Amino acid sequence: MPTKKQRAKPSGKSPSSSSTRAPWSRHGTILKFFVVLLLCFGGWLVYLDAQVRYKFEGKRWALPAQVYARALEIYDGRALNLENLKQELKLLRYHEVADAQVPGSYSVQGKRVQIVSRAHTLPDGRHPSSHFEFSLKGDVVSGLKSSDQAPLQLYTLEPFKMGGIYPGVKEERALVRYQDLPADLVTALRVTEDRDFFEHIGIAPLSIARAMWKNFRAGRIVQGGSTLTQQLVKNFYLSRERSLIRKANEALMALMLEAHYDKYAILETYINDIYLGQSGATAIHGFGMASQFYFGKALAQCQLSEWALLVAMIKGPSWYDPRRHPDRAMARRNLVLSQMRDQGEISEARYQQARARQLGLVTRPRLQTNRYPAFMALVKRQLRTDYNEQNLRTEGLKIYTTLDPQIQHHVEQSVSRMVPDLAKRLAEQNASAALQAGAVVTGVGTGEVLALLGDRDPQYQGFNRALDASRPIGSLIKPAVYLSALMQPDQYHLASRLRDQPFRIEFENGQSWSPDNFSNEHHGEVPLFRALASSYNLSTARLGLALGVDAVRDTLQKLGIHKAITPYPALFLGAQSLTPFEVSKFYQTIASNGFNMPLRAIREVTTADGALLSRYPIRVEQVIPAEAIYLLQHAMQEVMRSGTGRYAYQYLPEALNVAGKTGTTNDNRDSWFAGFSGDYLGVVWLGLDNNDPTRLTGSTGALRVWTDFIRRIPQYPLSMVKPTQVRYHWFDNDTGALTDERCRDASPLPIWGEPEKSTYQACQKGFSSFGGWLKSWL
Amino acid sequence: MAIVRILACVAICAGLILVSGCESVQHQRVVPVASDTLKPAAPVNKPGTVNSSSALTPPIVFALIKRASTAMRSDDLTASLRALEQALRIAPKEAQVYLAYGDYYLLQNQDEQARQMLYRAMSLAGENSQIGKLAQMRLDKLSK
Repeated sequence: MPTKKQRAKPSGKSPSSSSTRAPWSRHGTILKFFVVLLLCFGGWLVYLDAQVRYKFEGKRWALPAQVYARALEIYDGRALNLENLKQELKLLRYHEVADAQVPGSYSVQGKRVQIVSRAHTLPDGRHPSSHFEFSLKGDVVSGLKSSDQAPLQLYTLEPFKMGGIYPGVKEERALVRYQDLPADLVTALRVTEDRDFFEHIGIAPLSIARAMWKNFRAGRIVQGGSTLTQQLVKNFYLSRERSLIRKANEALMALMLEAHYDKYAILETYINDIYLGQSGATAIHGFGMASQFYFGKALAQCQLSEWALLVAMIKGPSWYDPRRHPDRAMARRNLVLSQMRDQGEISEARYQQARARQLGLVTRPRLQTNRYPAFMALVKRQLRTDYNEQNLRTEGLKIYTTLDPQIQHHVEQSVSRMVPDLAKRLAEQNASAALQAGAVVTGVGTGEVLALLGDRDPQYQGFNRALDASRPIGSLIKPAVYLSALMQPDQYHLASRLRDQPFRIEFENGQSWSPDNFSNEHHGEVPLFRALASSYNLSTARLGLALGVDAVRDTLQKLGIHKAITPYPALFLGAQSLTPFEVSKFYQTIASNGFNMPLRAIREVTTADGALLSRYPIRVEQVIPAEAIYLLQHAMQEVMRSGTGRYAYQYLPEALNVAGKTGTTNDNRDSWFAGFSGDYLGVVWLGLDNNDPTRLTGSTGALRVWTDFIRRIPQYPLSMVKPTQVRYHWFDNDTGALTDERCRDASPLPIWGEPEKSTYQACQKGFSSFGGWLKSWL
Repeated sequence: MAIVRILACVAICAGLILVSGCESVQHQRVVPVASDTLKPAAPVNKPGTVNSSSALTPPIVFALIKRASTAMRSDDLTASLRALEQALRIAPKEAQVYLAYGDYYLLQNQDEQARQMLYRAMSLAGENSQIGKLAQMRLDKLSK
């Protein structure tokens, strides 16, 4: 071997000496070449090994965050009707059958409902499949029990996966662990793709030789010799290029993979990585996702024939696409089944049974689409305060939201049904403009956002009017003005007289303000509650001026409006612009008895494995005295019973107490309504994006949409708890004076504290009953 | 004097009944709808389908409060909070849930949040109710 000394000899040597050393020199060069080659090869092996380990031990796939709607909780006493239940079960792909026995099915006999749920995982752990039943009487769940007649307190169905937050690469994948793999699937895979998988070292020379021989005899490629490990390497690490170098790399990496990791880890990765079809621009990867894509159920819930079909498709997911080429897919599936039988893995009877089955495909689901884009936008905004975009798109987080699919469905349906009708009025005036809508529904007692609509088209993914359309709210602001007054019980109560007469204010800058009522009529002196119920502008503006802009602004801030509020008198009539979502915050505080309750769209976030990352618990803060809110809610119920919201009771049952307020802005540019029952608060806005007039008032527009969806949801009426310092007193309807409960034309009103007794007046129009008269006489 | 008035009244009453029927049942009165304690009504979504029988708070709510309390004792705060939230979703106006929330936050030394939960319990139950008094007792302790 040449030494460093020999190599260091001067180059100017005689030819003779050169020729005598030539063989050594030639050998040395060749040797050097091989050494360099060996070093390069070694380096290459080190590089490949690093590649193999880096990707396999790191994050193998970019997993989109999975976003779920709230899970339906079933318990005795729950308000639920059959129509809504069926709607929810349809969303979850449950099948209605005569006798529910298999997971994912239900049956209805009269008022009795039986459900066989699927096993699923929620943040609190794994919920096994369960067979249970209950009755729906008067839209209330009763008699909840398991199939063996043991009483059940509560059952939570699996939540509907409403969408995801996706990475740039369009892939859908539902990871499955090796221990959760059905044995028949593993068998089918081994028999079809790699019989010696559990024995070989990553490559199988005999298989390669056998494949080469068969291909040579057939004159074309009829059989591959790649092991599952090689297939995984090819898909997971390498390009689809066909070359000897790639093939060599594939073999080397397969050996390395097998050297580092056990068979189970390799098989698990293969099963989650294999490409099995396409949905538009989205690739379907892994058996877990494919079972949902083709059969609409989890992999574990499939049958032998379905596992065989999935294995059959590996050879060519497009060629054997069961939706496009059902015959071809069926033949290939049966081949897989026959190989399993021939290998003795399944009995003849099972083979025949599986072979006789249809493909069992479901309608092609839409992937990588968010079913509720407007709500999803809210979820993303709330998530971004705690998570970075990269984590949301790649870590496979599970996000459990508050969305109620039943309520969302009704809101969508009402908007789709009513807005086109309402728009017809507009068409006569402005044919080019499309009437738009935004809506928010929240849980009165929880602050959870249950439904959200950002466009008249529920699937529209652009401008979200519920969150971003900031428009003047008109008379929706009036409850804040009246609340400011009612918080001063020594000065105002519901029967306080307000002047509803025109006035004019001159400002220092020379401008003036002279509001008027919507009807241009003036009503003289009116009781405070009537001014609110009938939405009189003049009396409200006078009240606001008496209270001061700062007082009303302070109330608005307490109610949850944190944006800048313009301190002009026009504030009293709703010149302030807010989005429907901001209005919801404001009314949420009123609906929840003066407790500020931040609106939440997310309950919990967990990792892909179910470990808890974040919780978004309920928070409450009392910001308004319960007494003042009680009085305001009373007046807002009057809005619905006899004021501008009375249209609602053409459709709502008398027993459903609701409170609310209409809102209309100048020239009918915006139509608003905000109202609540005991369970739900709904805010609806209708208008045009270009701010043109709509010809709609709050009452003729938004209120109708609100009524249409609220009447379809089973719910409890508004039921107020009277604070101890509030008592009912009777007031004369005409004069507003404190009077006797036996007087005709007297009405009871709740009063915080004691009313001024000096204003007491005897019955002016006689007694309401003979008994009353008799009592007074006695 | 009173006897004379009564006799006159009876006479006038008889006369009125003869002339115009019973006036006293003609006039429709407005009656305040309010209660000193919360009485859950039934869900309503169709005219005439009120089940006023009522429906007390579903029993599962109290089971969940108990579960929350047990979890709290074993320091499983996540399970405790989950049970309380579930109870709140089922019965958002059940004062006992807020009372339990108050206890949860008291245990966490989150006094302000505990105070607010107890205020809410009082506002839902009424100050003079048993729950209201329990909430007040805790609030009194907090303010000491």
